[in-house]
Amino acid sequence: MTLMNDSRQIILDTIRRAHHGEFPLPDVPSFSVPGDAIENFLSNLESFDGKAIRLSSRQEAIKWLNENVSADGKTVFSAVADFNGNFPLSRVDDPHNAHVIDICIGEGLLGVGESGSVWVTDASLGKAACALMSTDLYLLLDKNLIVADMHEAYKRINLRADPYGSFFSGPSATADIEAVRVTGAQGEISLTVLIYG
Amino acid sequence: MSQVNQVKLGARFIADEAHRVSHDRCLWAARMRRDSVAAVIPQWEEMRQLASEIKLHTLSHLADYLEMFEKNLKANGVIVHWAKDADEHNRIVADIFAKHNVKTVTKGKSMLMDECGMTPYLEKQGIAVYEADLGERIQQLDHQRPSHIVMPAIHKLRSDVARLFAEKLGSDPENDDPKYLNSVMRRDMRKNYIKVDAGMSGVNFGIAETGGIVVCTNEGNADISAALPPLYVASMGIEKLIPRQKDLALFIRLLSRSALGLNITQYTSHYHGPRPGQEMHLIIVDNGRSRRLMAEHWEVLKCIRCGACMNTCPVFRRTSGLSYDAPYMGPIGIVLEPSYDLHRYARLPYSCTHCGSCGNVCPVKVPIPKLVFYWRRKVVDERQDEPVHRAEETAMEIVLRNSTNFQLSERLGLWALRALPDALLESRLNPWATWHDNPIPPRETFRQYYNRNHKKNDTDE
Amino acid sequence: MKVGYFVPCYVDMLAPQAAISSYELLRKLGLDVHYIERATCCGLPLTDMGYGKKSCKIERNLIENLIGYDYIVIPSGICTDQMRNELTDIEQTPEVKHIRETSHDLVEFLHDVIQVKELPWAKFPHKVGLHNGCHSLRSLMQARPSELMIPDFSKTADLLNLVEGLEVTYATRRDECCGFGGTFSIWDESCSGQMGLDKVNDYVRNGIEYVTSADFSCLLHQSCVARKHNLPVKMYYISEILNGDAS
Repeated sequence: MTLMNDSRQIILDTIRRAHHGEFPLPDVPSFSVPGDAIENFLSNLESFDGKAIRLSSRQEAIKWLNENVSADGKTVFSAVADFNGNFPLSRVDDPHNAHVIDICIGEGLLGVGESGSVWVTDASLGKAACALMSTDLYLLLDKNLIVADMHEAYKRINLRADPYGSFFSGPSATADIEAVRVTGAQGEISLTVLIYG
Repeated sequence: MSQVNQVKLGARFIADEAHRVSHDRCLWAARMRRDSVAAVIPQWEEMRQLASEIKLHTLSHLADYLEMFEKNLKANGVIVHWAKDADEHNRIVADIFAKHNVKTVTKGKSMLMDECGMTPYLEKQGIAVYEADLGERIQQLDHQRPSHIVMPAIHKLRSDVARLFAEKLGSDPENDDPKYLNSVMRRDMRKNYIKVDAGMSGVNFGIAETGGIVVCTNEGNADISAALPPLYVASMGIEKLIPRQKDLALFIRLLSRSALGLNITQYTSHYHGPRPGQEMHLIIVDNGRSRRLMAEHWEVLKCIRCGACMNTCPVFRRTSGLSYDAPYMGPIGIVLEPSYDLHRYARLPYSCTHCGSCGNVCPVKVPIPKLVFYWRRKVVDERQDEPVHRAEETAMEIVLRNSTNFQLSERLGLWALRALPDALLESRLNPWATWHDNPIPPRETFRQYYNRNHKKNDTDE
Repeated sequence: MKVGYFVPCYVDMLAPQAAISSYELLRKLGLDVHYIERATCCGLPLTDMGYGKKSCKIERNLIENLIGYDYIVIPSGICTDQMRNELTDIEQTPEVKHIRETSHDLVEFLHDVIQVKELPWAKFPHKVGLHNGCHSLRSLMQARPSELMIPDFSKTADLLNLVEGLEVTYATRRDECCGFGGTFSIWDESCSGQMGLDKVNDYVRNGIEYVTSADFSCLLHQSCVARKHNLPVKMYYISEILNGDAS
């Protein structure tokens, strides 16, 4: 333990000896992004191979899930209160168990137009593992929660409120082999955002 | 250690047309995408300038910000460690793992862990370390280091990967469809995830104000590594810090656009403490950075590891990252590696044509071209230069130092070009002749033209 | 306006046609041009390789001979860049500062200082591939480098557009380095050669038969690669076209 503290002190002491002049911290203005936030969201989400479905209300969105998400022989986990899955949260007390989940339904807490991203947290996904290990991920998103850009997004988010928070932008993907884009890398294979309101 | 000869290693890659052409095409495409996504942001150049200023500010107040960062991390329940060098970093990791009886680890991409040589160290302790990023995993299976900081296996053809996976993972050697190869990787990694004891990742940004870290990936590998096991260990270089949450917007907007020409990474993930039932450790690593911070080349610490400089570098695209034989490669590598070991990497700063493109694409304005000059001078000052260069430059200095010497040498040079037989001029003694015809010697120099046509009039005036 | 005309070492020796056409063009434009006979080199070959401290004699010789002019004009972007931005190994006396500030590449001088608006003698009825050398482009900013998201401009193209019948065009990778890089072409000949060949092939694929540049060093490299590989591309220094010498 003393050794580690020594290193801490050595590092900090060395750094304090460096002088290169005064560099004030500039303010970061909110640069506006051209175009309509929702339109941008839709096209960017699509560019990341995510699917968007627009519905008039929360009820309609839940109805759509009931009609389209078939639990036929599949393990469905839901982190949203108004839709029931067949796999309880208690089963992922050990998150390793999340690997059996086929379909995960989570809550989107914010959308970002310029990147087609949805802000999610451990809590809004039940557990992050449920979404990441699923095959098909559905996120519900209130259209009024879509902001134009990252500047606006970071203004609205309280990062310290959740141990894990992430912008999900389309399903997992890779381009590591000859830069050919393939979706369904390590995480979920498909991502559908149900935008309501 | 012996000196890295990037020229020789690069020449091998150049001679391999299929690999060279594919490599160049993939990276140039990334550069083109970068241009098109940057072009639609009206304040792109202003954003680069601001990002640079924020980095300069943070680096010049780094100790204060690190203290703030540490305090907030601890408040968030993160266990913080400090490592002054690679050895200490690796020891800290091994100690944590021993305490938790860790046998299997999956890890997201981390240049820092590569820099520290962590994986071989842990493997020696009997810990199975699985790279969870596809490109990194390919490189791990092939016992090679990453050839690019964002696309670790981009120097390989799909057929190389098919062969490798067939040998190591038992897949179909005839099927080189990237989709199929990705599915082989996915299946294989899922087996590892299920039994994983600990997850590891690097860090893209540390936020002093909130005491959290940001990890950006496209595959979700770092997220899964953190989300499943009861233990998550991340390592971060001291220079990765930014002051405020609102600064993050700027850097996130710049990072992936510069790296791959994408508006964002698929997963832009923020960790502010362990989830319930988990332990989260962050190792803050120096490993030469504080020394760099005190030196003239300190601006290299602004780098956010996007790889844009590699994608645009005409030398890198044709020679590939492995030719630099170092953890960091390409433009940023040639101005970073000499600060680790000047002798070993003394030749790297010469793998550059001074085209300047890297400096222009850099999202935080690291003055790479200026730093290349800095390191070449340093190499000469520390007498790490090639004796043949020293001799050439000494001769050149004598030729060019005044007009008399120059005119004499010029006549000699032109005489040689005109009079010597082609066989001699195109011999192996003349490397120029491998790719070039020799210049056509002019009938007269400008000076001779001037003396013949104008000198008399000018003098009469 | 007293204009000093500095012909750098390699231009004098290997590209007299570039120097001659630039000199004649300046005279044709009615300028009081003085060839600086005793200047040899800007010191770039040494500073470029890290031997800046060794370049002092060369640089002092240069400065001594360049004193007394309102402007220095140099038919070479790369040498101009060296003089303006890298001539730092010698003491920065008022003379040195004046020379560094008033040194202009031919293109800058024509475009920015005397602001040439017409070249009635120049005709070149061809599509011409414009290659902006890296130093002219990214250090002297004679055109917008493709990486920078700033309003588009090109001083070189503006001048070429004054030539009757000339159509400016570009290789697909319009400002990719051609690989000359000074001594780089000798000591990393594979990479330099491959880059040169890629550049010339880019012209050929785009049907570009004529190429021009304000940096003869790039053209020297590219033309020697083109001849070695029997690729039919003709290279002209920009003043050869602007002065009406090219045909």
